[in-house]
Amino acid sequence: MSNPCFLTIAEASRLIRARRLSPVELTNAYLDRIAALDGQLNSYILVLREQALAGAREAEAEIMAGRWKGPLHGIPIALKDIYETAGIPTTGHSALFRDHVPAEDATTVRLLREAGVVVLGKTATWEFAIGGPSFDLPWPPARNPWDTALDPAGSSSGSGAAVAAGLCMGAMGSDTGGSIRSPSAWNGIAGLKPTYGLVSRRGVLPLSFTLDHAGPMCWTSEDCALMMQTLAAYDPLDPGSADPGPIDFTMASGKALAGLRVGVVRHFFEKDAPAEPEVCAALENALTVMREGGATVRDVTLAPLDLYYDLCGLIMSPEAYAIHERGLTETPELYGALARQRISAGALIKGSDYVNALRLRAKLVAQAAEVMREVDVLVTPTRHGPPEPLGQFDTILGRRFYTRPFNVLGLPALSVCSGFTGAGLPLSLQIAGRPFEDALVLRVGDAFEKATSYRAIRPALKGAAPAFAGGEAGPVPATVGS
Amino acid sequence: MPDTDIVQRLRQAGLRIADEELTRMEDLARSHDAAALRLRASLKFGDEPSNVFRLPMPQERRS
Repeated sequence: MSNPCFLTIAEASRLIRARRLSPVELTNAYLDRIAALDGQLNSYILVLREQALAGAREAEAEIMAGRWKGPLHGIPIALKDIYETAGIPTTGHSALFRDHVPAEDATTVRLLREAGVVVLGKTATWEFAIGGPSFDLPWPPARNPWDTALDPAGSSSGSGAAVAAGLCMGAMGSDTGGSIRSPSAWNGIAGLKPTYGLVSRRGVLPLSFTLDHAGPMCWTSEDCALMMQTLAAYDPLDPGSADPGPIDFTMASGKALAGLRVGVVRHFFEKDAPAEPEVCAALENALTVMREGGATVRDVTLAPLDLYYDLCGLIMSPEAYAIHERGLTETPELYGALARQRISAGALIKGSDYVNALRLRAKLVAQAAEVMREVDVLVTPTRHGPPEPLGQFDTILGRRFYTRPFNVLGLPALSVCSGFTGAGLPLSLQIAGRPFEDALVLRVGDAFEKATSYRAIRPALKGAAPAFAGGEAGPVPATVGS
Repeated sequence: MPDTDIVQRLRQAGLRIADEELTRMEDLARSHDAAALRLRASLKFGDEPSNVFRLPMPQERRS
């Protein structure tokens, strides 16, 4: 085995269970790779070398003693640095929280530790999951492993870059308007924003109480499903937590597309905010793959994308300001400019507009539920185009992406890699489902990934060792095509 | 130059805004104001049954 850092969680788990892969050796391989390569990416702001090795040794001893806990046992992962970790700094990538050392793990972190993961470290984020790729913070912004001059998108920027670059096997992100799916799209990985309430936010630094979601980011949809099997759990400590009963996240061995009814929200990316031609071509290719797998495809209509943007802004901004009001009025100098400005604007939104945005949100939830009586999943691109240069955030901020509607609606939504541009940059597909049908969404993503060859290509990094399988570096396939 | 309405509102909220940040802040605030105007146009008094407001989550919470 030349480089275990390019195994998927599913592959590594089988080897670990069979005692053919050592969690200690695997963790050491990741720590060495982070030390060698992360200077190009800045995906980590804290590497927990000793704790990770201690955790790996413990996992290895348990497995050797016949106490294998499950598919995450001995798997090295990373946490966006808004997930609270007991005794370990949780900064939100902000000077304001530079010395914040929580006493307890977030519920999700506790669940993952109980499942036996090895935590490699804390990853870069936009400041408090909203600021942007800022250069005026204590740590630099993460960079895109497909081209380090490019933006990895955010706010779960470090998690996305680290997964794509083989610097962890999976990571946790958070998503208020697209912050799991956007960096998943621009880093060419899989990322799930679960149904609102399915994964606890307890112990995750908040941005917007009614729009925040916590979820996994991995190389494949199958790996996201393996993490969700642990993460999907009712949490009495999170008032937004739901209890839909047990959910089976087992993948369907390629059968997920047979009989599936796919709704294409075409007006989002052809009329409301037109996507670039290569993105549209990749989406049409994905629809062909789905039809060939036995799915039926039709166009559907939701409310205009702008309306979702309006609601998301009118809800997110005052909720974020309510959380940060004291910090912004008392110590504004401890925020970076982007976060300070974006959150401060929430001070100007009237209470009546916030409440009316919630009223209209309820209407959109009902409208979407009606549409989804006729289809099983909705598809759109995730982003309008491939990654853009780092440092052009004003341009990016002015764009419309296709993620926010599913925060407003609370529906599960997955981003997967749908191919590459002619220049070798990743393109994206978004798959959304009904409430609590997260497993179906992941099965569709898994079926698409297994019907195409895009999971065989990793980004090339300077000085990187050859890939274990599929190929790091080397030519990237031209444009799309299954 | 006198403060604009938006700058006055920010300062009344207790926020200290540096001169170099005013343009972006005004852009952000105007964007929110425009969204609020569109929202008000799309909701009318009496267009829904009385007192049916609830947090619009797609799932039922555990009782």
